Amino acid sequence: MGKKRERIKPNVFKRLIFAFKDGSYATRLSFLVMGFGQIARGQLAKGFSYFLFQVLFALYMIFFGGRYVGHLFSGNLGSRLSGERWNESLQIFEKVSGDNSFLILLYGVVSLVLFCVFLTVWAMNVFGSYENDARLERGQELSTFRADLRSLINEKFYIPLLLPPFLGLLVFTVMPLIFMVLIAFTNYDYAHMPPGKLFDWVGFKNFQAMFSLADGAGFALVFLRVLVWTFVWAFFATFTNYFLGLVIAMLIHKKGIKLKALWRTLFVVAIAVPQFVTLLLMQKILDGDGILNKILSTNILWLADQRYFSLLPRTMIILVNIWIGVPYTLLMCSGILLNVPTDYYEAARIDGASAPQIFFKITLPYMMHITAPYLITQFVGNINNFNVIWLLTGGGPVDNVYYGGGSQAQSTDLLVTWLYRLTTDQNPKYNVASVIGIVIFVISAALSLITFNRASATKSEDAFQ
Amino acid sequence: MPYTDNTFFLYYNKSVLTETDVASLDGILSKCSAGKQFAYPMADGWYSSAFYFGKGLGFEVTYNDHLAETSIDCDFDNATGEAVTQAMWSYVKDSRFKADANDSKIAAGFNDGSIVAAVTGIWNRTTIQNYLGENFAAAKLPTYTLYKGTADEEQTQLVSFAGYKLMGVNNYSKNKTDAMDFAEFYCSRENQIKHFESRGFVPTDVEARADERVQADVCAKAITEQLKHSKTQKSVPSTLWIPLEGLGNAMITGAQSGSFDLKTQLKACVAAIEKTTN
Repeated sequence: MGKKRERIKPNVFKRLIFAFKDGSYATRLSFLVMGFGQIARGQLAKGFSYFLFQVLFALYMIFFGGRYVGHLFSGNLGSRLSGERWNESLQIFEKVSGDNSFLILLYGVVSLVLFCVFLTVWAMNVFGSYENDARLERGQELSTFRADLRSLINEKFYIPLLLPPFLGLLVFTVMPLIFMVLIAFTNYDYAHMPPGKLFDWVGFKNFQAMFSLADGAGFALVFLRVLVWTFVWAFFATFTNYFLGLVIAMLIHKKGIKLKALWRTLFVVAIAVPQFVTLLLMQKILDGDGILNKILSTNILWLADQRYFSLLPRTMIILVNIWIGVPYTLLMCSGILLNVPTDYYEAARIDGASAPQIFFKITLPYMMHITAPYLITQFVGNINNFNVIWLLTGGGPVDNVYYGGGSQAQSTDLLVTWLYRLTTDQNPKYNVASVIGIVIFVISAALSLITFNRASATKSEDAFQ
Repeated sequence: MPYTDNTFFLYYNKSVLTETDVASLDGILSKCSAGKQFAYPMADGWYSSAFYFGKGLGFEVTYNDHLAETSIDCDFDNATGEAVTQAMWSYVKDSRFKADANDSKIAAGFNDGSIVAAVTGIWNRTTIQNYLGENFAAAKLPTYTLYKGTADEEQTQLVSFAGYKLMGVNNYSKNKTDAMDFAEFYCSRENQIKHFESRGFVPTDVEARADERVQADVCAKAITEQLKHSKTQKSVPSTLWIPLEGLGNAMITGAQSGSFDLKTQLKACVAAIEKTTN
């Protein structure tokens, strides 16, 4: 019991077991009554605050939270429907509210998260008591409450600094995330909308509907088509912008071109107009009765022609995206090009390399090496590029043949625009939208992790030849 | 509480079209040209379904006790439906027929004279009246030709959706009685007439309609005529609109190349309409 613990701590559960086995009776009692270990040793203020926390939490669970957590696990999200009751004095029907499934789920999630917070504080209490044991063993004095507070301002200042952001993250990011993910396992849609109606757990039914054919009831094919287009779009959007930006940057950068700043400014002026405005204008220009058709004296439906899997709208979207994205890549490539070490070029010229050779063997590899993380983040970002698609085609021409089946997906939809339509339609389907949201999350997380690994693997800068 | 009708009918330019012309779609188109078109929003299910309803085709929706749709039956794709779709396609192909119309295009078209007749609702009445001035005229929807060129050729009346705009009170509102009083006030008889005088919205109240100002109005006459050939907008499947939009769009796109796979598109459209997700 007196041996020194190693610097590298084993995981939390092992430490808890260790504390129980090895600790004094005060520590063991702290497992049940929080703060006991501290009070027994004279750390009254600290111990009492732990105890108060435990009492408050128990009261919360008994009177409020426990019920909702029970609902979460019982397989039932409310059972009382609302109704009407005639109010004689006011001469109108009054609503009698029943269970509200949405609030039940929400409070259940909140209670669960609070329970996790409670567990953390409880573990802190136990370890604190165990730490007291260790100190007493070594013959050290136990820290007073005042000394603890002072250390929070001095060497442990990171705790009060990080606590508010952490709590904010918990409340505004983690909790809503858990809530949204849980919606995917319910049947929360327009036919089951609280407060008038109830919704319930349905397990994996939504996932089955999304990923299987189920004799025509599932829409796996639609999902695959949307997924393929999402990736195709992200690929083309990223790489067309990148290569065109690079080419224009190189053209401007060439020796012998005068007024370099002027050319660069002209090409960058396109971002002076906000992206939103440009897209709405483009939509009007490319309309069937728009300016482009008037100029060309045609009536091609640039953004509504659904033949060949909406090939024309898809091409137009990629082209319009070039107008919006090239100024940014142009600026970036200009900056990087100016920094290419000139000795590579001189050596190449001495060796008699031709211009294309110089481009493919020196410039391009260098640029790709520097901008590889940028390209991957742009790719992941373009997977969720909502504005361009939504403002140009609104998801695109409706195609009953390939995108039918009650999925509400349309032919230039990305996963994220499909999700949006499912939530803002006249008959929203929040559960299906949640499933799509989970899919987007999985894809983005996987790609981001790959980027992370790449970035940490290529640490050195001149290891690219 | 209802306060005005919600249906659509024909607006036309009196100086180009006569009353006999506007009785039939072919009559209208005979006076039109590529620069003076007839606009009909074919990519909008609310309008394009008029062709099907004209022949008595429709849909059946069964609801469960939660008022969710459990099954939808749509017979737009039987033999008659195919013939109707064929007629629609032949009109869309016509260069005098502007199928990709919407409210803003119709207004702009009346303004610069490129549209001489259009099908839309009462809400555009003031705009169109401003543009057409004394040439403003309205009538019920025309008839279209079915089985053209065959022995069974017949004229079928376009049957519009008919509904009404109403004002409702939120059941959960805190001031429910006050809100209901306001709704009653807004939709009262005198206010419906005032509404008619200022914005041209034809009243639904029977006695308000009997008022001579309303009786003399050309739009009110058109609406009253059209309501005799209309289908009440009730129990409409929620899945009706988007597939019809897709069908209309496919026709409009097909008009460019001249080819339209009628059977596949119609089947896919009806399959999408009949798809319930419960």
